[in-house]
Amino acid sequence: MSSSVESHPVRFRRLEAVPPLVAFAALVLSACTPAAPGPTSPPASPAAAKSAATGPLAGQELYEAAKKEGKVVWYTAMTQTDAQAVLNAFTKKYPGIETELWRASGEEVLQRATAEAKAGKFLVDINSSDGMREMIQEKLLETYESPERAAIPAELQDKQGYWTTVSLLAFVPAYNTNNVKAADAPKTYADLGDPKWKGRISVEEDAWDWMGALFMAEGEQKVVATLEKWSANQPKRIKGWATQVEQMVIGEVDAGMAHLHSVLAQKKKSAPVDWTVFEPAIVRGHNLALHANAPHPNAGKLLINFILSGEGQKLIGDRGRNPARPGMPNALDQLIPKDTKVFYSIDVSLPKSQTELSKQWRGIFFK
Amino acid sequence: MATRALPLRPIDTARILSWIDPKAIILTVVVAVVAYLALLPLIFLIFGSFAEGSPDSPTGITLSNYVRAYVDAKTWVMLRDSLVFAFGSAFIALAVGAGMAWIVERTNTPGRNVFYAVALMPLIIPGILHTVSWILLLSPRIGLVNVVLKDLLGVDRATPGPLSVFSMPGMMWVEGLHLSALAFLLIAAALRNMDPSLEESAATSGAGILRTLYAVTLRLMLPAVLAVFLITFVRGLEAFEVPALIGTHADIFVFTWQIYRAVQQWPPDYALAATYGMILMALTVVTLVFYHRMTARAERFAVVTGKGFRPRAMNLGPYRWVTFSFAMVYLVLAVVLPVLILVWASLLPFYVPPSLESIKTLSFAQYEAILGSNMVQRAIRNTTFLAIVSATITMLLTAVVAWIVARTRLPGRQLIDFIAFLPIAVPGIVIAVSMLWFYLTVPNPFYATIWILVIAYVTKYMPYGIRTTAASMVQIHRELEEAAQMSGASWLQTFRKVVIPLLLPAMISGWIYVAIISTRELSTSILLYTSSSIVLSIAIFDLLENGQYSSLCALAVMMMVALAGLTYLYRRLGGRAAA
Repeated sequence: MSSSVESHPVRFRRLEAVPPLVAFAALVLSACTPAAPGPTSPPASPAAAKSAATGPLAGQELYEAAKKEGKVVWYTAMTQTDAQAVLNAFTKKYPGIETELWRASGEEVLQRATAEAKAGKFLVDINSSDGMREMIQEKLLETYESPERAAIPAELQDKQGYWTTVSLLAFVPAYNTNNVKAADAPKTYADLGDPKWKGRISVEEDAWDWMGALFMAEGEQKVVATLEKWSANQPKRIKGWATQVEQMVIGEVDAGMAHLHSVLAQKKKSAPVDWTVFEPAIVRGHNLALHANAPHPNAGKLLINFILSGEGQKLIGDRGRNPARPGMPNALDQLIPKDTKVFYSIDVSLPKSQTELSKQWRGIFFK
Repeated sequence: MATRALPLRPIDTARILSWIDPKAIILTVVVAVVAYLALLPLIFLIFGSFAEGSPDSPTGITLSNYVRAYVDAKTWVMLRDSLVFAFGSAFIALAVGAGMAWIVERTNTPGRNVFYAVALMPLIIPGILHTVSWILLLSPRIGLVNVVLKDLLGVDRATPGPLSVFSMPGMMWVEGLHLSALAFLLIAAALRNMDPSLEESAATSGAGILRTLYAVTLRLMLPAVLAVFLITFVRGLEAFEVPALIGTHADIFVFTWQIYRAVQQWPPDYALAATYGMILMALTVVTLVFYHRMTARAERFAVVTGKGFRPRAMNLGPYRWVTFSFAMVYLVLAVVLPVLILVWASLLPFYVPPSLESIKTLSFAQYEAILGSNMVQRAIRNTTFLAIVSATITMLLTAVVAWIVARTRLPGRQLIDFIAFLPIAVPGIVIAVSMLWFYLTVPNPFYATIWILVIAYVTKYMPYGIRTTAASMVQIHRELEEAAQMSGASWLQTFRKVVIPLLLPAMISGWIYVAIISTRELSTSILLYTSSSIVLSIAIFDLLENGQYSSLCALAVMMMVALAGLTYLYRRLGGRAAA
């Protein structure tokens, strides 16, 4: 009657709490493998500094170093399917390196990379989009003299060594062939301001880069006047240059500016869309750069080399894009008629900053 | 009795560990975690709205953000649009949901059991998919409904059709239809619990169906109906997908969209996002205060005892076929059309309205492509991981909180209950902005990993967890725990071996519910994810921005099939009562 409580090993039972808690904690932590979080500090910096000190790695050495890193992360404004195709080919050639892709608009890539860097999280290795100036200003990028650069024309490279053009972006007017006959297709920039296009055209949500280049080619005042007429036609504001063509294909809009390669990719699928040329045609570059404090710098360099190599550029050409490297399929100069006036705006010195141009664009189209 | 000398024992770890009280540790940890999750981000949201500079380099305290918002005419337009949109959506949701609830619960419409299951189906369709399907149905130029109408009216297909989704009525329709399932659920429950004696006395006094409906049913239901209106109004204020995908093309910009834009633009304006977030939260909090009052009033008319007093179904006579048709129309609009259009679009290389020629191009190519995409595979892994982990943590936390509230006399236990419920007043995107302010300002290992999403999900779903566990806790007799403790069990043993097993059905049903709704989550994840922590709803959003309608629809169909399976499981295990 007396000692049953005392001799009963109640105290031992409190230990029973520990194994389940530990097991649960272990389960939760082990389940975190699907999303291996990025490093919280930039452990790659010592390695990067070392490689800069001893000379750049190349060839097999670079591949070995990249394999050790095990992964490469690429933020891009290129379409998901095209970028994935490039990565699939990369993995085939260089097995043992996991690839991770994030596709977003140039502005979002910039915003995300900056926020992450400021929080001390370095997650991205290479970046390809059209917003290099701001990224250089924010000190997000690192120079990299890829051996493949030698084959790319000098005007398609950054003088300081930060970026190289991967493919050319030619801005052409495209239209839905079911709803617009070739004879009725617009011929000049001013044509899309004609009231007959009211409610039938689209513009990109933030075409600051194209507008900036057009300012340089035609003069700001003239361009703004034309764009105001476009705005009066109540265009549909669509996010993404590839999406514009998709919307034309399904018949949501009849005409608008688009990337030539997007139109060609759709035409390959027998989609009801076609293109013409407004003069001067604007050509900008889809540019590739290495990130500073990249978590996997050698893998990043290897991927850059691959994208700029003959094999990578041929793949890009086969996908319908216009490669920067000469002698590749689908070269831009073979597609645009010989005597067309073309304005190349590859380097980053637009007349105004991205922020100013964005604001101006929104002022015109988001009344 | 002579005192007995205690036998000498060697010092053992068990004795030392016995001084650590698991109860105190667990209760403290849980309370601390709940308070941290619910309060800390909110504090930083308030701070952010008064801050000058950005999260990583705040330079001072200022009122200028509010002044800026106040003087900008855009803010007032945004306020008007947000309120109108929320009001219209709530109205449509209520009209449709209440109508269906009455038909299913209180009439003898044929097939009403089937309609009950059907009316819940929209809950498994993620908001983004629902929105995309209605864009494909009601786009003025290519929408299927418009194409059919144009063909019927003999109008050329290229001209815009009569019904446009890209308008305020269009937005209200899509959101209202999506919320109607929630309204249905809540009103059906209220109808089921209603005291039938008043209706029966009306019937015995000779009142007809309509008279009873008007004079008795509606009057009794009024507080509940108003409560449901208010909760759907709050949902309308928090809505993100419809304003993001439809509103932007209709020049209608609501708070949730502007908050998102403020963070995503270059350079990001976190302070403005916080300010808008505070304004939006003020609206939701006020509405929820009224909702709370209405719910309290509604409960006065509920049955206290049990199922024996279930109201009898009204005999509508021949008019039951009218209600049957109404229910069928609802079935078609809410479930059949959206699902079919998504399936159709998923089988084509690019979308065209259904026609005989396009049937030849049908294929499963999109499904292959989507399953082969690295991003989608990652999204599936992450969504599954998040569903399991956040549901588990949520239910464990809320089980303990429910126990604290129901069983202890701890001072401040009502406060902890309130704090656990707090996140329900905060729109998803505002939770995200407040977390950004906190996790970008304070050094931590969570930002830009999947764990920040776990934190966000647990924060967001705590209220749902606690609702389930608290309700179930009340039904568990105190005597069982007391008996265990009388037999010598420690608190931890009692909790593990008595409380949890009794609470388990509610916890499981809550777990499945949280897991299911977490797969639909978009507005919080969209500001906190990275490429490695991408989730399914964002993958869909991404595909949409890429213009890849067909791939997106393939992913959509697969997602809905999986969710349908999980929901079936939920209904089998949880049953109607857990609603």
